[in-house]
Amino acid sequence: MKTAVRFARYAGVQLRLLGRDRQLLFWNVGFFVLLLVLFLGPLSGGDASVRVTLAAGLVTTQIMANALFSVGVGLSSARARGVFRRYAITPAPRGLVVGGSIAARVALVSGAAVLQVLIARVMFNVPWTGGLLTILAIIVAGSCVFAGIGFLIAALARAPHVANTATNLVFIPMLALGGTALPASMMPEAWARVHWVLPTAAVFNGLLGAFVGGQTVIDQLSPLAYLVAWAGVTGVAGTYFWNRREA
Amino acid sequence: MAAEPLALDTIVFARGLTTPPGVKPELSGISLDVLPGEIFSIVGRAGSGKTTLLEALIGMRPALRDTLQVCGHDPRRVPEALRQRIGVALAHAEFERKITVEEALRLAAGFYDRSDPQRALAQLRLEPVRHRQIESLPAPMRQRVSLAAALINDPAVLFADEPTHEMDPEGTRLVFDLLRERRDRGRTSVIATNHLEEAARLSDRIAVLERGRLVAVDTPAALIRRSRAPVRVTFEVTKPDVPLDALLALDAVIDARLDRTTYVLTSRDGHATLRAVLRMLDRLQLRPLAVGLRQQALEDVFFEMIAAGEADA
Repeated sequence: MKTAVRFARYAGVQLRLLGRDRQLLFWNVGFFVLLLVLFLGPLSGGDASVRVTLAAGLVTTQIMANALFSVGVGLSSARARGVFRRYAITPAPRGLVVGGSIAARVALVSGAAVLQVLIARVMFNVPWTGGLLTILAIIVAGSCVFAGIGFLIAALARAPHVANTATNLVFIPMLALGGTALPASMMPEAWARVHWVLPTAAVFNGLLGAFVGGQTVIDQLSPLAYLVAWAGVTGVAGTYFWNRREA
Repeated sequence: MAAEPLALDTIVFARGLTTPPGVKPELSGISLDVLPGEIFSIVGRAGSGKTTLLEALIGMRPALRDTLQVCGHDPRRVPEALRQRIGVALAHAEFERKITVEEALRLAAGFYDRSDPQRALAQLRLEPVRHRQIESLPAPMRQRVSLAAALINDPAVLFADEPTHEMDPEGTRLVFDLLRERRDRGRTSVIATNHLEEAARLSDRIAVLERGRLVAVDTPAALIRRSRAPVRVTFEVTKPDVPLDALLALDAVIDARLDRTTYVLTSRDGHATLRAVLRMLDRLQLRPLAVGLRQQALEDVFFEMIAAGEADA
């Protein structure tokens, strides 16, 4: 119980600190809201189905970009500056500090995604036929997956610039093959096979299903389980490699 | 289950502390005891292994073939239980940039069963900057915050790496006063430092580290007494009529010269030479205006030991 309270307190402080970073807030929240308004407004041509696809694509891209970079590069930079070393000399369990840092970032990314979904609904009438709970489940699961991949990158990278390069190397193929930039139906067969393996596809298709397919959490249990598995594997691998290195 | 303390009268007990191959700088067979209420300094050149030793003592570095206990615990077996009782201020351990001083101390305090962030703020005189973010503070203030975080649980043992490295004279004095106040309350402090004269002024005992090996562990006075380097005896008289030959004939004197009105003798035994000089002046019925004995400073002894260590290597 004491550990849970400490974890929540630490994650809360970390979230507050992320909120003080204006540059980070712009890129995590403001930039993607701007893109959403621009694409779903003037650039959608008034087509409702295009707006839905664009909304799902932009929310997925936001989750993927911000969770990957804020965890991958953010944790690597914090480690290089000795932030984790600072907590390693206190009685705080190491998992609590790293986990709290990741949880705060997941909360920020998920919050930004929920804001996007709300704007899409209120301003552009993007429906929630599968229910808000389904959308929330996909958003949180997706954030955890990309945070897990980011964590693995941070655990393996020796320096922040290496983490940055590695994150870009992961992000760009996921963006290209995840279905958000190019529909899977238009991809060559080999690309499409990769597409279906990527967590990006599970998030994007899950959001589409919750927006217009009427798919509830029960209907989406398989993709959600797939996302949880991704998050679990990357989280465990990240923890293993992170613990092998000095804080 | 924590092992029983190996020595009840020591608060830090290390025997044969050796780092595994590949850890740089290597520590080799370090054995030392730190007593309760001591200020114990580890001095050495840059790269001699001071930080590695400090980190090994708190269980942050792996070590081989050794026995290590701090406050009766092996730091590698029960790190969390031990860290409730110790405080650590390491170099290259930063707070989050956007966190305020007060938040940082409250957050750190939350990890201890018993802590007092307000007391730590006051001890390091951080009240005026309590609402400032860490990134806006100058380096000396940041170091004070780091030290405040280490003292937040009023630790039985404080381990501090270069605690005054970034500090201005006011901050340095503050830290020294704090360490002395802790000593008066029976609290122990283990510090690694490059500042030899500061270590000599502050410490009860000093460990000299060179290339990962302990060259000496003793009180500052005893370390200085160990020196085989000559000392300087000076005196001034009303009329400089003392024959240099007679001075050169005195016990332990290896050189004698007159510098204007001051005689400067180089001796292997300062006290014996001083006594002999005073007897000679008495015999010559000369009244000394000033007499001086310049003992070796710790710095001189340090370099002597380093040179001896290099010769051995």
